[in-house]
Amino acid sequence: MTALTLPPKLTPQQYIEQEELAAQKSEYWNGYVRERAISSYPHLLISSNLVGELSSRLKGRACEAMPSDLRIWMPAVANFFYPDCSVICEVPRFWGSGRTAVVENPTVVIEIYSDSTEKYDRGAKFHSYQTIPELRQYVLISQSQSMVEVFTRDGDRWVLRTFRGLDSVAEFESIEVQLPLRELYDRVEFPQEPEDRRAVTE
Amino acid sequence: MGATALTLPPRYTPEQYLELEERSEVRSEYLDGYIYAMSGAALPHVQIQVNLIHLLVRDLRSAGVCRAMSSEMKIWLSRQNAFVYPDASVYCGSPRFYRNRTDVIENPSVVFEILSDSTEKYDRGHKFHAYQTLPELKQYVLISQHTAMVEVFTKDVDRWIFRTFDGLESVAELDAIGVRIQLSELYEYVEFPPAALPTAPDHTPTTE
Repeated sequence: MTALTLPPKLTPQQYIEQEELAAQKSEYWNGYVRERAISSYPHLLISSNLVGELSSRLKGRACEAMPSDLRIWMPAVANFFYPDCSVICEVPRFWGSGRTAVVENPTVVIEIYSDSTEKYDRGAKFHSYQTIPELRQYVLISQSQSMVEVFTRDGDRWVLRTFRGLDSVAEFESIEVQLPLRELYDRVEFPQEPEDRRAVTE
Repeated sequence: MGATALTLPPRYTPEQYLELEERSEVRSEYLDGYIYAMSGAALPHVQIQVNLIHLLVRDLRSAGVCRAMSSEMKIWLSRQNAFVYPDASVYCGSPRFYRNRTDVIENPSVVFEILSDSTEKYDRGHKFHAYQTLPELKQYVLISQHTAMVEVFTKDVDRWIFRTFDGLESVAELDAIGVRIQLSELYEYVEFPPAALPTAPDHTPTTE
């Protein structure tokens, strides 16, 4: 893959200013801006269930489940992302003056992946989130089947646990929450034919 | 949702696939009835693969019971009804063949995939899930070709321990087979693209 003409690089400040005026959310990758994927209805259902279920389980506790309007800033890699859900348990450390909703220290980050975002959610975005010292868990939620993968930090490594099927219960031990997949996927209809899982070139 | 297949390609049985594969000039993988052609690999991919197999053969020789296989060896994933060609694999003890066919094994201990832009999603996602169903698999190794990075998933009963080895001076530990891979050796002769290239995905609109 060769990028023939790259768009001009923006500073973090320029991106934040542009983003305040933009009609569509974009993410920032070390100078480059990329429009965020437009959510499908199943994606929105899952994210709405997710934030709702987490919020009710976190009520009265020191953690907040935030929807995808909250941006995360990762200074080590100079990226701004909008995760589908972030859980903030520590006193939020804001980027800049704190006027814009940008936080640097989430405890949990959750992405609901689709065909078009899976590569980044499992790869480059996960690498980027790993640079957050406070991050304890990274969670990937499938929207084409009932499956939740939870990565839990353990020193310099991560422990991956996979929860499959509507009868299983995902454990978010960093925030002491158990989330039944039946609640997470409430009213979600899965596609009949699996999406193309194959790629054709190396 | 993503793309919907309006007309599905024909479906084949495992035996039909194996027979076609023997006569084919292009390698293909098989997934639950469907056949997917694999295309050729580019220089960095091939160089890393050659280095990897050289290191595995060299370091396994002293250890004894494990053998390194090139990407010519197919793996049968019975739970997925699939045949795949990992970039490299290692089995220990006796190979267990699919229906006595010596070109397909069922019991790798370690499987290696070298990531490329077009296979990364599949290698990290569906293919990893498929490999997880192999009872003997102990480690799954992902090798980047754009930067010196090796990611190792190690099975620990019902979970996987995930470690990242980053940078040419690091050493990836494959304790399942008693091999330590020096990244400087794995990436010997490999030229990485300039660091100025963005790690961002392309700018085409997507849906999720």
